[in-house]
Amino acid sequence: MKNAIAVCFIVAVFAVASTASAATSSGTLTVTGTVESSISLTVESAGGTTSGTGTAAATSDLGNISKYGSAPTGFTLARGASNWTLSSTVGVQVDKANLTSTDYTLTAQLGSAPASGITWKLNGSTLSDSAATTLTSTGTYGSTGSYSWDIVVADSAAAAAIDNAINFTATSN
Amino acid sequence: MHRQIAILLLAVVMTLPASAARRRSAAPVVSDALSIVFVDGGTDGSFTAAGGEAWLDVKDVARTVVSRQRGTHVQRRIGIRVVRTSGAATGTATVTAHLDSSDGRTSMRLDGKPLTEAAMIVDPHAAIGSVVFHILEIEVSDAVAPGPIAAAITWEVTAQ
Repeated sequence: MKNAIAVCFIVAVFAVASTASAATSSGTLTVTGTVESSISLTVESAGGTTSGTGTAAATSDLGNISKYGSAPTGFTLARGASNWTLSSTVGVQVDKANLTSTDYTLTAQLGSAPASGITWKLNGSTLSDSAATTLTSTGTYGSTGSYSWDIVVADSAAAAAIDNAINFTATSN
Repeated sequence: MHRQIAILLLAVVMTLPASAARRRSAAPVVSDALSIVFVDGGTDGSFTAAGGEAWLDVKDVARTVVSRQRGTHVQRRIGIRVVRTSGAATGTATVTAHLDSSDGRTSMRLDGKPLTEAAMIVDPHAAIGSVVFHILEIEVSDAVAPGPIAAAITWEVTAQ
């Protein structure tokens, strides 16, 4: 009889527990989108007192420069008969994502016309503000390409700011 | 005597459901069912919700120059509100989520935890009636070919 009573209570307890079983519900969040191919260009290094390296907009401050003064940080100075040259390098890295291209073409162009008597060179090629100069047509993604950077100042150039911008453009091949 | 007591107890137990049924029929019906309401946590208008279904279109996904880390990362804020059909905002619920389907072109994290086909607890004590926001991160590997991505995340709430 005691067993019978015990069974009865167990049944009752389970019945209550079953009635109070957790209520559940579900919902679905569907996520869609489209992956696009992309490349990114960053300036990794440059002569002068540089800021913004590792981004696409770096700034290099050469301070006051003169033929018979000291070379700016990261530059060498070579004096010629009628001009003088500041030399350094610029490191540019191009990364790719979701792209099958194996290499890229890199060009450079001055942002504005250079001051009279000032010549800007990258990889030995003179830059202008009117046309892009090709630095490489077989750039390797993911590694920093180093390009020689020369600023040639004629002795006849006026003592004035030489400010300019070098605009790099990478195009996947 | 013992047999009579046993029969009486059995009779009482057997009549319990009937009594309960009578009480239910006499009292107003109060449903305790739970449901999920998705709430837009962003401002870009790419989120749509209807009932227990929601759609998030992250649109064009491309790696930006500011990110030096590999892969493309998209982050969205998703709000979840657990509601009772009765409208009562009492109690708490456990919220879980799992990846219901995926094209395999993305990996996802919810509040920093990898989202897989196994259910993970998103919120062990979500207050019913309140909106709780969660961060959904979508990562696309650089090696993934361009094109559409699609995945479905199932969320489940269980009353405590």
